[in-house]
Amino acid sequence: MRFDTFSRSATVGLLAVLMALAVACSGGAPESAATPTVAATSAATAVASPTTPPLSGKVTVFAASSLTESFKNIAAAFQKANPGVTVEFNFAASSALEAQLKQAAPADVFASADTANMDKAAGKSLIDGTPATFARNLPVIVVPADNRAGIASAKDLSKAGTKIVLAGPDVPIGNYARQIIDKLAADPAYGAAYKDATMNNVVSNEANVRAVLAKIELGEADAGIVYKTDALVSGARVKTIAVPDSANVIAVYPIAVVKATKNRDAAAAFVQFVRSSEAQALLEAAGFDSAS
Amino acid sequence: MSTNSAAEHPRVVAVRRAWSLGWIFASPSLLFGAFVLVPLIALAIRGWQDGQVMERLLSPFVLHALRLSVVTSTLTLVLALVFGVPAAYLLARGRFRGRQLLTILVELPMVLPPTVAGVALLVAFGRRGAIGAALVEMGIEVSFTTTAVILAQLFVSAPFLVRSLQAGFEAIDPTYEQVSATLGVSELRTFLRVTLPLARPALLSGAVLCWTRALSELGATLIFAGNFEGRTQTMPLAIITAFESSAGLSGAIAISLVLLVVASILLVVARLAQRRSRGSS
Repeated sequence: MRFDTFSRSATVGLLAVLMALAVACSGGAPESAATPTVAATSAATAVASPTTPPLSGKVTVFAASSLTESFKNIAAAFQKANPGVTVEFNFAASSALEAQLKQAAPADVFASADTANMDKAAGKSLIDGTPATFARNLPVIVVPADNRAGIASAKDLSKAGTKIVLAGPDVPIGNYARQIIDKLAADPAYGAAYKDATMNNVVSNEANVRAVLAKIELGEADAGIVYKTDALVSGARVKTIAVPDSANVIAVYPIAVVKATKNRDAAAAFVQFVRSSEAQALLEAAGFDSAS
Repeated sequence: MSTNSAAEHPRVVAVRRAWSLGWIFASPSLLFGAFVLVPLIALAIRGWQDGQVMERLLSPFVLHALRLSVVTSTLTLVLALVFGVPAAYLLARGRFRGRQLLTILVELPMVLPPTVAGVALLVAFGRRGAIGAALVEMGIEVSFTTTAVILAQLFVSAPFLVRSLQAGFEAIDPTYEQVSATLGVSELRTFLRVTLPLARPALLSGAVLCWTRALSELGATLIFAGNFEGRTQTMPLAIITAFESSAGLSGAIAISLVLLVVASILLVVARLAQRRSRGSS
């Protein structure tokens, strides 16, 4: 009997606490997104002071998947020049990174593989100042090394039975790929039917460019569209087929400091370093084209 | 001990002890309960606040994913029952070499990260995989198909059924089966009429665990089956796709609510069915 009374009052208490907490949680989301902005403004005033002490702390960089190897190299060089700073990465599709930024994920720098996702972040006041373009890249068609489906050109993507993997439509490379297919279909040499035939061959919308690359390396799919730089990372495991120049789009990579950063000086220094000649040389070695 | 039990039944002692520990155990229990429930309630409230929940839920994107999830997880459960019931019985009653090893093997997919299952399935059943290549020769391609979704779900969820059912079978006093056998009832008939009904609570809870695990499967599916609307994009994949797309968090929340409701209903139904079957046996 006493135990019953106890458990009943406990249950009522639990429910009351839960409701209060849940309301607080769901209502609190926009507020918590706003709080870091206050910290950011005070950090901004610190930048204005003329004497700059050596940089320190942690810089968390949200970067497009295609930047994985290059940014790790750039961070190593940056840390050598700034021993007090640790650079940490979150590599994912730029669209996924933008979604995470929107949820107030703790980031200091955002490097996107397209202007669309950077603009989205800018539109929501998630980033600071004007984003700077730091690299360009070129989409290419990749096929498994043995190319069993016998893909020789962009035209073959429309062959019945070809298994194509693309990244999702919001992922930069997925968006570029769809633009390319649209442009090719507009070319009389390909014809309007090219688009439907090719899109019907798409068997998966992968989360990011590296997932597309993995499916091609494994030979699970016959063809995919990735960046030139990704194809270089895969080396002999994939074969590269160029997209006709007339239909290709140039991927533009913008970078910016995240507004909610708690380490503004170091974040700004990293952005500046990515645009330096030292970092640009590393990017070019990986196959990126320079920003200018 | 035996002299004590005459005066105070052990169970009475246990209840007394639980009561005296009540308040000590209450605070961590309340905190844990809040930890589990607060996010779920917040999800429901946020979904409500976002509005347009119904519009989002009735979009083709969500309906395709819902249908695919229901179809694949149900088929997974059927396959798990077909293969899992005999396997569980063998593991519980069989006396053969390597039984312990097999029991561990069955548990392995439960403790493995689903992404590992996805990679393993890809290496085995993918187009260039050991089994997959042979299947391709026969004109069967598994990767990027709904079949791949079911295989991924089966791999990660069937062990929950087998494990639960094995424990259920082991808990049955073998004398029931022996009596049935001495009465001249065939072994198969004994299994179907005596053993299986006695194991019904374990069968039900195992089936629900298996079904809900199949329903929530993400990692193995994403790697092995890919992500394509209407074909391989189940509800969990739709949630992650929505979250990472322009639909954003609101889209993800709307779909999450559906899964939350479906999973809750399944659990409640299973509890009720279990109670009824316990009452009847």
